[in-house]
Amino acid sequence: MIEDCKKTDISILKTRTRAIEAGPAATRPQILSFGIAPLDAALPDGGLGAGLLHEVSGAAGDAAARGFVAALAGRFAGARGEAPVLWCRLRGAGQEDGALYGPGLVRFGLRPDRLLLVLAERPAELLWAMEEGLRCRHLAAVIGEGVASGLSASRRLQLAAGTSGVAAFLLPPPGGRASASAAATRWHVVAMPGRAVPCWRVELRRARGGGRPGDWIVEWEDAAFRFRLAAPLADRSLVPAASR
Amino acid sequence: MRRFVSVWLPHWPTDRWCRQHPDEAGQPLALVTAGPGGLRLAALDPLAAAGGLGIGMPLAEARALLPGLSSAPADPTGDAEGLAALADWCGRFSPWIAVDGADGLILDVSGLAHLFGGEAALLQEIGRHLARLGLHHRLALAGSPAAAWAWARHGDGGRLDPSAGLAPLLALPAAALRLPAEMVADLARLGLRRVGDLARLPRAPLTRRFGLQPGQRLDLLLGEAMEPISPRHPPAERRCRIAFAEPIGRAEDLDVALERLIAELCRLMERSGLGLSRLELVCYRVDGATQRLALGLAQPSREAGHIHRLFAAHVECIDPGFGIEAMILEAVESNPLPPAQAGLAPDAGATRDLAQLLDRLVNRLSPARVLRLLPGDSHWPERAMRLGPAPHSGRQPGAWEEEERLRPLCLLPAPEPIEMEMADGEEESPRAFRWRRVRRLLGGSEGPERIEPEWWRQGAGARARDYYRIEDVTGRRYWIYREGARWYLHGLFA
Repeated sequence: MIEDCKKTDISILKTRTRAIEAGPAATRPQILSFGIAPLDAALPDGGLGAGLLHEVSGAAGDAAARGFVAALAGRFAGARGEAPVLWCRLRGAGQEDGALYGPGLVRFGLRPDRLLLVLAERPAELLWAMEEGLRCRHLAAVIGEGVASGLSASRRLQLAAGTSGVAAFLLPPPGGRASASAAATRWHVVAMPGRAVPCWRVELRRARGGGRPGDWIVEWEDAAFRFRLAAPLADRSLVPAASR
Repeated sequence: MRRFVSVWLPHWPTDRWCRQHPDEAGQPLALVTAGPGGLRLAALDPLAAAGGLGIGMPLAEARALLPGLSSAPADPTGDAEGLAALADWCGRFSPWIAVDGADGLILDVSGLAHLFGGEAALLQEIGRHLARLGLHHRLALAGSPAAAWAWARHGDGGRLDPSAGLAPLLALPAAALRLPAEMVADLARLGLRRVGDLARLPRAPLTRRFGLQPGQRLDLLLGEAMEPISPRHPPAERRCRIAFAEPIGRAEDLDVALERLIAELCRLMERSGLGLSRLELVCYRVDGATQRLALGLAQPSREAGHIHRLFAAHVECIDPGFGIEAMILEAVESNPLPPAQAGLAPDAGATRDLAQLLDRLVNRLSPARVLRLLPGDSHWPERAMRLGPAPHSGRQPGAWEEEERLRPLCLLPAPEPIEMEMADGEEESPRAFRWRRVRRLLGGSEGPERIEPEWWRQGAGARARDYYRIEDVTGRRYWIYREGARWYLHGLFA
C-alpha cells in the first residue's frame, strides 16, 4: 500500500515536470488512463497520452486490434466532448478483413456520426491525410490503417500530434515486420477466447519514457464503455461447443 | 442599353485546318466531303474563293480550275468543338457568350465596354486577338444580337452607333434577316430586296404569304423583340479579372496572380456579406485555349489564406502552354455569411477549423474518398449502413440508434462461403469450419438470430438468414449465417 502511494506520488511529480518542460497548457498532452491499475502503472504517464503516436499491430482475420483502437479513440472522443475522429484507410489494405461497420462501432463508444473516413490510394496520401488531421486540434483522434510508417514518417506524425494534442494511432498491416518507428507506445493486440464480451490479449511491446513492457488480458465492457482486467480463473468459453 | 458583339468567322473550317497544319499555308485550300458523284467542296479559304470556286462544286472540277488547289477532308464535328473552345477563350471579353451558328459567336457586352476603353477599343482588342490566332473575322457591335449578326455579315461591320438609328439596318439586303435562302429568293421575286422593303409592308399580308418568320426576324433585327442568348457557361455574379501585359507561365507568377485575385474576390464577398462555396479559375492562354480549375468548399468562406492554400495544391495542374494572358476567378456559388463576430460563439472556431480540414482533404483526394457512415434505416445487415459524403453542412440526416443485438466491428464486402464440418454422426453440431482454406476449430457459438429479407426491396428470391456468433479456439469471433443449406461468413467481431 505504502509502495503504491509512493509510486503515485512519483508519477504525479513526473507528470508535472514533464508538463513544465512541455510548455504552455494548451499543448500539454492529456492523459487517458485505462482504468486498469497494472496497465496504467506500466505506462510512463499513468495512461495513454494524447498528442502522441501509438502503434497497434494485430493479426490477419482478427479485428481485435481495430476494436482496441476504436475503443481508445471512443474514449478520447468522450473526454473531448464528442469531438470527431478521423479514420484513414489505405484502399485495398485490410479489404479482406472488411470495412468498418457502423452498427458494430457503437458498442466501442465511437459514435459513427462523429467518424470521418478517408480512403487513400497510396501510403504517402494516407500519411498526408493523417498529418493534416493531426494539425486540427478539434479532432479527438486520428487513426491510420494499412501502412507501416518508417522512421521519418512516424516522426512527422509525432510532431504534428504533439503540436495539436490530438491522439494518433497507427494500425500497420498485419503480418508485416516491425519497422523502426518514433511511436510513443507499441502494442500488439490479439483475440483471446473469452466470454460474450470482447476479450483481448494486450501486449505492450514498447513505451518511450520509462514504460514497462508486459501483457494483460483485457475485456471491454460495452455497457459502461470501459476496460477491465479479465478474471484469470473465469470460464472463458461462450457456450461449450457441442463436440466437447 | 444592351449591346452585342457578333463575331463572324467566314473561313473558320479552313482557318482551323491551317492552324493545325502551319507548314502547309500559302496554297489555295478546300475542305471536301463526300457528296453526290464524288467529293465536293465544303469549305474554302480566301485564296480558293478568289479563284472562282464555290461551295458544292465537285473536287475534280475545282482542280481543273485551280491546279494548285490542296484539299483535305472536312471535319464538321471538330469545327463545332473548336468553335466552342474558342467561345470559352473569348470569355475573357465577356462572361455572357454563346456559339452562333457554325461560323460565329455572339457576346453580350452590355455595360462592360468601358473596361476596355470604349466600344471601338473593345472591337479592336477582340480583332487583334483573333488576327493573332490567324482567323479571318468580321466583327460588328450593335443593339441586338440579330442586328450585330446582320451587320457583321451583310453590313459594313464595325460599330453600329445607336445615334444612327435604324437607317443602316433598313438598307441591308433581305438576306440579313437570317431567313431560309428559298424564302429570300421568293421575296426578291416580289421585289422585296432590302430589309426596309419588308419593314414598310403591312404585317398581316406578309404573315399570310410567308408565315410568322419574316415578321419575327424583323422585330429581332430592329430591336423590337429581344432574342435570348444561352451562354455556354452561366456567368457568375461576382468575378475578378487580371490581364497581363506579357503572358506569364511560371508557377510562382501564377501563384502571385492567384493570390491577388482571391484577395480581391474575398473583399467583394465581404462587402456583400457572402461566403464562397464554389469557385472557378479560368486561365486564358496565348494559343487560344482555356484552362479551368474548380474548387468546392465545405462551408462558405471568404478567408483568402484558406482558399489560396486549397488552390495552391492544384496550381501545378495548370498547363500554361506558351503563356497565360488573363485569369478570371468566379464565384460560381456563394451563400450568405454574416460578418465575423469574434468571440461570441465558442464553437464557431471548431466548426470552421473542421470545415477547413474537410476542404483540404476533399480537394486533394476527391469528394468520393472523404466519407462518413450513415445509418441505412434497414435491419438487413448490408443495408444497415451506407457511406455518404463527409458532412457539408454538419446536419445529420438520420440518427444512429443503439443496436441491442450484437453486430460485428467489420463487415466483409460480400459474404464468403464457408464449409462447415460436422461432428461425427451428428447433423446439427458443427465441430470446425473452413474459411479461406484455413480450418478453424470451433470454440463456442451463440444464436441463431433470424433476419428476414426485406421482400419489398429484394424481390421474391431473397431468403431468410440465420445468424450465429461463433468463436474459434484462438478466440477470434466471427459472424456467420446459414441460408438454406449453405453457410457464409459475413463479419468479424473485435
